[in-house]
Amino acid sequence: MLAQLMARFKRDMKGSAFMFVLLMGFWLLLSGSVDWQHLLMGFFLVSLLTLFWNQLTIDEVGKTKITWRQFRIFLRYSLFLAFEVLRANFIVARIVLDPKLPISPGLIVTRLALKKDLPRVFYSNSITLTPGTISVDLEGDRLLVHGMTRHHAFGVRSWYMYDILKDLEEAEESA
Amino acid sequence: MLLNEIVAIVLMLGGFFFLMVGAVGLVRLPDVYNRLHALGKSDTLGSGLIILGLVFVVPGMENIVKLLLMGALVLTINPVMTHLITKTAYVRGTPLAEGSFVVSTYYEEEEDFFSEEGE
Repeated sequence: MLAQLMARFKRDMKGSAFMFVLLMGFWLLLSGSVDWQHLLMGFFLVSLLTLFWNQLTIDEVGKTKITWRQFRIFLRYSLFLAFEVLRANFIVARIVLDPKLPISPGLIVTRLALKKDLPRVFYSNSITLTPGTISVDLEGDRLLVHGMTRHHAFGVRSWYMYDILKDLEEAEESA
Repeated sequence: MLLNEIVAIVLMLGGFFFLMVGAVGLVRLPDVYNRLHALGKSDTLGSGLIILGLVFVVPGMENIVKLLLMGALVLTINPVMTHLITKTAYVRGTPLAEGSFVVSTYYEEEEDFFSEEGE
């Protein structure tokens, strides 16, 4: 058992070292002190984790390339998302606290042209977090969205967040 | 009162307001999908604001790091769980509220779609 673990560790030395540094940094961040008791305990636990989990190390094969351009697009996306989350909450608050409860709910089926997994996850999660819509189902390019009002449900089709994520996808392809 | 305490109080009252809106929405809205609108959104911002408010008053860097990690966790888990509940409800065939519309624009061109929006 232990021999197996060690053999795996030896096969991917660089990946294990990277994992160790990552976990150690996380440990230091959480413990917030650098006296020798903390360091020793951290060293022990992180070594154990690296040893037992080293089939999960990051190797060369399935690596995602992250370019500077992708990072910039992602930053822009995060800013817009924060703004949209705020707006969504004010819209929901206004609808819920309105005595007349002005809703016209319904389901809408649309087409989603994003291909890569990660932009698709981002997009459907943004739909859930932003004004008046939640994503119900995404199968292939068939996207099912529930809208709180008719106006918001139809707004999904022409939404500027989609363009940002399309950019992100193209940046990944060209990288 | 210190400035950071005032900021914390304002942020946490904001969080309180949005969590209240979520609870009111849960009671007032007609079906499971609409209720999830209220809960999924206002819980994210509500707990986010409360965590952000706490960042200003807790002592020590390591506590702030922990709070920010919690915030990131809430921000990622909330939409995923909302989506899962909605999808489960949809797959089980939970009926929509009375008067709901169901529209497919899957086979339509963009132009047709926009002409329909004006109704």
